[in-house]
Amino acid sequence: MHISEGVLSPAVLGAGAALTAMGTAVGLRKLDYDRLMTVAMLSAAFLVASLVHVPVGFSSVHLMLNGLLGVLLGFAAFPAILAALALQALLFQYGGLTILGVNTFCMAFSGVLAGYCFKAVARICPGPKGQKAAAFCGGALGVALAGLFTASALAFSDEGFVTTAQLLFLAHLPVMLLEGIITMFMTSFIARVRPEMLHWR
Amino acid sequence: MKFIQFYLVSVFLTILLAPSYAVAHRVNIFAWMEGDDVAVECGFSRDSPARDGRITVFDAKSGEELLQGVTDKKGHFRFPVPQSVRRDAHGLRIRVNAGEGHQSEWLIAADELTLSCALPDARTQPSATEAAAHVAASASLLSMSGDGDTQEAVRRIINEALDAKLAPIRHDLAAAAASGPGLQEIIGGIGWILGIAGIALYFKGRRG
Repeated sequence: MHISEGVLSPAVLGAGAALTAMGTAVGLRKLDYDRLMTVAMLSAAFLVASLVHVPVGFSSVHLMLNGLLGVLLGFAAFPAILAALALQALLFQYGGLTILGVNTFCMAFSGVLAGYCFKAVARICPGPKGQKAAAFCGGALGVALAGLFTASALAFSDEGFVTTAQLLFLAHLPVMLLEGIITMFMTSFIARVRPEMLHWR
Repeated sequence: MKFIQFYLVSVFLTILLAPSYAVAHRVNIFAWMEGDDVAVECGFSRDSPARDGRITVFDAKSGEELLQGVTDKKGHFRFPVPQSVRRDAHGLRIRVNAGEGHQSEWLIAADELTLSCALPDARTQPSATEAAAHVAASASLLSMSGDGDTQEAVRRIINEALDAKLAPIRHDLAAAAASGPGLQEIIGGIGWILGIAGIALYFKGRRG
């Protein structure tokens, strides 16, 4: 879901960059010393996950993990995803530097919202089962919202919002399910091993 | 238990049936000369072509839009070199928009166009030493053929044959240049992130 350079108008690029700057500022303020290495490791996981294509059937899928980052990091997902996407743009020419703001906002803000959704669902239904359901919702919602935000950004270019949103949603349905399952397993593993990681502000 | 089984089956079914085009990082575009035509190929990765991608061809120098088209099932598109570009010796800028924000461009330089499309007056002049051998060789040819028209025809045939032979090599070169990231780059990326985190830790630690 990287938008290429030259597709969007300068106004959308500027808005994306401003929103990403704000999100990153909030993320860095909430980030304390002890969690820095966690953020870096999850940023590396985000970088690698979207590069590894898993061949399934006639097509291949790759993970996005923005939901997982949001669930585990909250607003600190912004700097993590910004770093990973900047490196993808510089090293692999995915996306581009001018469009980095829009791409980061689409991926990171959806992750942050997914993180809050995880918190809300986990509070409504407590217990390990509720937490699993919450993590699944978070992982799947991260992908779905990223598609929605990407489609909204593209709505300002010459592509229609509805068709793009539908295409992205359909193509990412399997990714949503997969991400939900992976987020569920990761979260329940972390809840057992290092439960304090789940309690970000 | 039954629910989980149903769930897993449905996951794998959706993955099997899902279209792959939108789950991509970027669209690749290659273009090369085949005779008087320009052949364009668009794809997302090595084996998934970009179907129904919108192709727009621009004059590389003036930026004027020359023609538009749509790629076929295999991601291919062909068009003859526009006369205006050939006459003015401008290059071509070919842009593909494959939807969902995926867009790429490819440049064909002016000399590549003129090399492929035999233009009588735009030939490169042979150097002095070459010219001597050239004259001796072509003298016999000319004495048989008589005029410059036949020479031009031979040149054209040779160019066409060379284009046909070189097309797969050009294609492979373009494909190699656009291949995905290797293990080295991926590991390098991880290293970068950990390095940045290390620097951040250092400064945060100094501040206390």
